[in-house]
Amino acid sequence: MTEPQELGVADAVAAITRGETSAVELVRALIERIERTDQELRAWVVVDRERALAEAKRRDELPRDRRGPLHGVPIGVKDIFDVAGLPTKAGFAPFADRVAAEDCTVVARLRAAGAVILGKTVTTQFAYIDPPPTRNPWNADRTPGGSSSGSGASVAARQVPAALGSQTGGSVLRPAAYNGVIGLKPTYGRVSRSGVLPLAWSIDHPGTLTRSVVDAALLLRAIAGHDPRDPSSSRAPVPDYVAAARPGAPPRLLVLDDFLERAQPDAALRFEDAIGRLRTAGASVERGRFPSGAPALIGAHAVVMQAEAAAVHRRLIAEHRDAYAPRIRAFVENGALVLAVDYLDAQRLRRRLRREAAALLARCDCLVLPTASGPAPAPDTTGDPSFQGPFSLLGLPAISLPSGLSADGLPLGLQLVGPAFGEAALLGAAAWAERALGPMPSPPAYRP
Amino acid sequence: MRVDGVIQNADYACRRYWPISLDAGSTPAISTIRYTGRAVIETTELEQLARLLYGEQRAAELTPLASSLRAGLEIVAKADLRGEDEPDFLDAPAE
Repeated sequence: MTEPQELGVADAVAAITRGETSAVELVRALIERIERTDQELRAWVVVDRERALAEAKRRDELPRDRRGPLHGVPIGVKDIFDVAGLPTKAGFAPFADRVAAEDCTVVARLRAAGAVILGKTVTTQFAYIDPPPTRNPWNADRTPGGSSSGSGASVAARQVPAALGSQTGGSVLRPAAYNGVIGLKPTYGRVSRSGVLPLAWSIDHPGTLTRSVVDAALLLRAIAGHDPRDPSSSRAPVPDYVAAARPGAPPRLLVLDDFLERAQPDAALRFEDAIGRLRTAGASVERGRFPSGAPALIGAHAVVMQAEAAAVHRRLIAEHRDAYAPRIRAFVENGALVLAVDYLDAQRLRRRLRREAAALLARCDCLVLPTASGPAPAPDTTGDPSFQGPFSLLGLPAISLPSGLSADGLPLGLQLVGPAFGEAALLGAAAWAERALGPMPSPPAYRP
Repeated sequence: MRVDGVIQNADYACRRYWPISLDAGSTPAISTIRYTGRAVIETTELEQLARLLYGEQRAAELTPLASSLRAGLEIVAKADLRGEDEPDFLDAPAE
């Protein structure tokens, strides 16, 4: 049987169903692995050992006909999502005792599908860009990215098969790319934000980190759907994402040259190589760019995000200024200077950019661009969000796939972007690309 | 804008709340800031003020973030947004 830490979400469900392992055995094995490896990796805020084992035991006791699609799968939860009985610290000392009374909607839905909540993973403070303690499992001298730092690193290091993340700038896709895993940010409104600490409410997206596209689909199927507790939650029907996440016909891709031109030379070269592999495998590839240009996307995102973050934090920062990490503090302080007219004009520009994206998407199945400008940089930063933030601004679904290694042996990612609520087709295209690009190995220091 | 005048007139507010409370002063420079808000982020004095008020380390933390905001504001200000008058994309799902 596959080693427990190598089991993905679908693998784990299948192995438990076949009786090759149990939820308790799997949870115990992963807890032991975290205990062995996390002193170095520092991906976890808390491992909820006793409650996870108790929850796994309850799963094992369920009759087969009452088992959910995520039966017995251990999952890490970024520490801005409420988990009943655990504090939601968000990397902020004054929240150390802020114990959640109930699960956020996403966690409740994961449990309802049979998942076991293993604990909370490290976030940068308030999901912004102050560097986290977490290391990159591929190279301890590089950032794991952020803000879903612990979620990306823990999934890559085989501490857990899947984790929740969130993205306002690029906080799901960038850690996915830097750690060599799959990051999925669904359409705005597809997944409930209820019970998740906000950073900028019109751009905040819950998302997932996994090691395969089908695993991303399994999680999305469990967490998607309308939630009356989130005013931005959509009533759009939830298709069967798992059925959709299979390689079908080769996709029609549109490479966004205005972003590619901003990538580091080695990353751009390797991106073109990955596109060449996809073309050889049968994808049709055309080139395009946003009429308003990448700077308009990046600029509108900066204004909207910073103004909303200032509003979100206005009262809290007045009470706890010194507890704020330097970059989020400066971000909030500067954001308070944005005029109402600038914020509104940024929203008007955003609307135009959404139309431009829709016109580009009418020519293809997916937009494609490097997930990040290059591989993971030094740990005094969480990396460059300018390749992911625009698609947070537009609210479009985006997925990052590992596309190979950089010259210095670090993972690189390829980002596919689909139309609003087009996750099913996006996952199908991603599954096709995943097969064409081939598997990403585990980080050398975390291999058995 | 004379940096020393800004500091003189907004010293307390700047120390506590910079740059949020720069509108507390009354010099022409401060009035400009108060009136437009954007002046704070467009002026190179932002960096000078940060260094003078908070020291080099604090300035180094603030200025990169102010730069990205400044760039965003300049792009938004230059965009011809005529016709973009529908209700805002604020808190509503895309569908």
